Amino acid sequence: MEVSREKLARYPFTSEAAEYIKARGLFLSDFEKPEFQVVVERAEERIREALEKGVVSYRGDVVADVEILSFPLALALVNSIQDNFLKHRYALAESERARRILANEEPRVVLEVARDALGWKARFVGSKLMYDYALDLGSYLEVASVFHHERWKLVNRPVKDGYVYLTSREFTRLIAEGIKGIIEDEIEASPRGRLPPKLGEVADRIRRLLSEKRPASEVTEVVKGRVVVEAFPPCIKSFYQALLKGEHLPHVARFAITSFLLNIGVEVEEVVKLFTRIPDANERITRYQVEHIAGLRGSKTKYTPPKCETLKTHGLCVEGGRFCGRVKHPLTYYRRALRRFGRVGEREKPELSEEPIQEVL
Amino acid sequence: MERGRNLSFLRSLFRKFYEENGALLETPSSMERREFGFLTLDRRIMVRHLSFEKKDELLEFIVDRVPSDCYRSAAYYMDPGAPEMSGKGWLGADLVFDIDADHIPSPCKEEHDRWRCLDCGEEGKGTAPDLCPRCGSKRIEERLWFCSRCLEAAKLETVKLLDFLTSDFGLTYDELKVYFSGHRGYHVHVESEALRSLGQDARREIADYITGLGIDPSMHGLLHLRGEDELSKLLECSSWAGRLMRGGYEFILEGSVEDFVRIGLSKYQASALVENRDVVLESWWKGGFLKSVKGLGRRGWAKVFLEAARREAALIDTVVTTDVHRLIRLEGSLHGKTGFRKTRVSGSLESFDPLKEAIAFNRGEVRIYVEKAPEFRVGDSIYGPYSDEDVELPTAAAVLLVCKGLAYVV
Repeated sequence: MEVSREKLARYPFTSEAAEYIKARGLFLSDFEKPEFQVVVERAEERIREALEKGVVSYRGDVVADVEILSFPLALALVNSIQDNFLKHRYALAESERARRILANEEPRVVLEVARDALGWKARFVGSKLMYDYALDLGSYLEVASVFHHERWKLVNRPVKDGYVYLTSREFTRLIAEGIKGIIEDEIEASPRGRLPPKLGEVADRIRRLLSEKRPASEVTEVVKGRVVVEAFPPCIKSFYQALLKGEHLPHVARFAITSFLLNIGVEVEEVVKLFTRIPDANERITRYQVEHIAGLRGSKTKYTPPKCETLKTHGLCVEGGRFCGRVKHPLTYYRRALRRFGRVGEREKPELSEEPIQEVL
Repeated sequence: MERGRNLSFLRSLFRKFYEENGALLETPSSMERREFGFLTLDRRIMVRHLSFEKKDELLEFIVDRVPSDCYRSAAYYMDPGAPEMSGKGWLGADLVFDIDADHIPSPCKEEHDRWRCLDCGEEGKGTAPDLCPRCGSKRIEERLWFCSRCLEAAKLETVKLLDFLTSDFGLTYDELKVYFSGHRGYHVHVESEALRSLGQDARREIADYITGLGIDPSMHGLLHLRGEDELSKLLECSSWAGRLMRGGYEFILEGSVEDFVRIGLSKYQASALVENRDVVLESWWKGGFLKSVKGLGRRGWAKVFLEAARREAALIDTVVTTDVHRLIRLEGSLHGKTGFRKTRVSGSLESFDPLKEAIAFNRGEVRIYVEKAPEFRVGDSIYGPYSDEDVELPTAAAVLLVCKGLAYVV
């Protein structure tokens, strides 16, 4: 059965769309030709929308081919810029685009996308059970374990016979999350060579926009001013690096690094900035959580980071603590390491922290 | 001296066992993708990062080295014999559950578990404290014992676990294997294609689901029920909702005012619940219980359901399930702390008698000197208690005391 181009335009990340695109046999250099100008413009627009609005629009008004072909081109442009924030942000904005389209689709189409794009086993159960869809347990766990709200915890979901029950809204939210992962992979897999001149100009414009939109890039400086990142224990260091790259962290890791930083004297404001590097971070919620851990809200308890044993049970300890000696708490490691750095002659110290933090780590 | 005699006694028995009963040793599926590890008998050092292509090679190794305990990875690796975890190339892992009496509060522990501070000699019964109460030392030696009662408690948890795996997760009995560990509990291995590639976070979700960690009764719809119809719809798609209802029913049926106060209800609410018990139970499965007790609102009912969750959860060791690189005891091999075999429960779990079916040494008798041992059962016979005496026991019973370090071969 021939899949309609409209459908491919709505869901350009599916394997069907990839086949269609491949069959056109295009190279990056082809996009220099005038007849592709409109595709190049739409690709640039896609990335611009991702950076400015956090969601790519669905242009039902343009020729379907423009909507289809501008997608892989945008991926190639994003990949050529080699910036983690941009990659995550773009994947997120494309997945949000898909989520909005899916919200208005028939269950049949929603299930097709879940099956074809993600390989999920799911079925429509109608409203007779107060839920709309049932998704197989393995797929649910793979996609939903990145969410940290209690509502997504498996123990708080209706589960029976290997299926997890979801409302329509929840199901499309999960599909979007799955699609985000696929798009991130597709970005990595897209061609990354020297761009032909016209595309190079587009990439330059995106780079300029990116430097305006990138949040809180001064955060490393701020943290550096108060603390010695080199003295962080390996676990905290790894969480810190992940945050700088804008990567997801499990809940316990987020809690650990937040309470750690607060305990060694980093201000709430600075910690919040660090977290807003995660592309889908909501600043209001982040601030609330950080203030809670700082003891400014709720129970007014100032929290300390979990001890090594707890981090171990959560699988967050780096190589069983073999770099840590007999330390039992991340804060102890830091204090001891500080003393060690303290022994370094005063003159040498500034040199050490002159280097950009990412390279020191 | 005595220790040396014990070691050579165990070494020759264990070797003979593996020589004669190689068939009892099970090999995991895709054994060439598994990492193997062994505890040495004399110094109890872990030798790991080993791999074997065939059962013959594995058996040859075991007979040659005679380890006290044999392990294999739950994970599959590209190169299971690589010396570093990072070089192995993780391909996936079976889902593994461990139910150990250690994690189950049972009254018999106070009777038969002991500890001793290696620094000041202070002794006590029950679960060992983290620090010695007298001198504050951390060097505490545990003498764990096990009895029919704690094994029964572990079995009960295993039954609950199997219900989670089948009714909630939809696994079939073909995908599940249940084993007695050879010591204080049970292992359940799940080999399911669909779950093999799950990472640590996803496995933690499974562990939390089974232990009920983080459960919020309001999210299961029970605190906003509008009648029987809605309840039956809920029960049709949510196994936990069913558990909360069943556990809640039992708790209210059996609970006293003190029980209800213990879970956080006020004295007034607790008494009202007891006085209206019949009305509550009557309206329970009709979904009308929410308004059946005056003064008991949603927050109160949430506490009742949290208690229900505590009763219905299965007490697995969550660390084992979450760890994707875990080594687990090799199926059919001997347990170095008891001389029992890790034994497959092939028939009904309810009627399985671990202290009988896991016996590895059926023949002969051995004379041993027992320092101190509580009463215990092996097979159909009960032995002990013993204190500083010479006794002649059937091999299995003697091996148990020797493995536990309570007796010496004479």
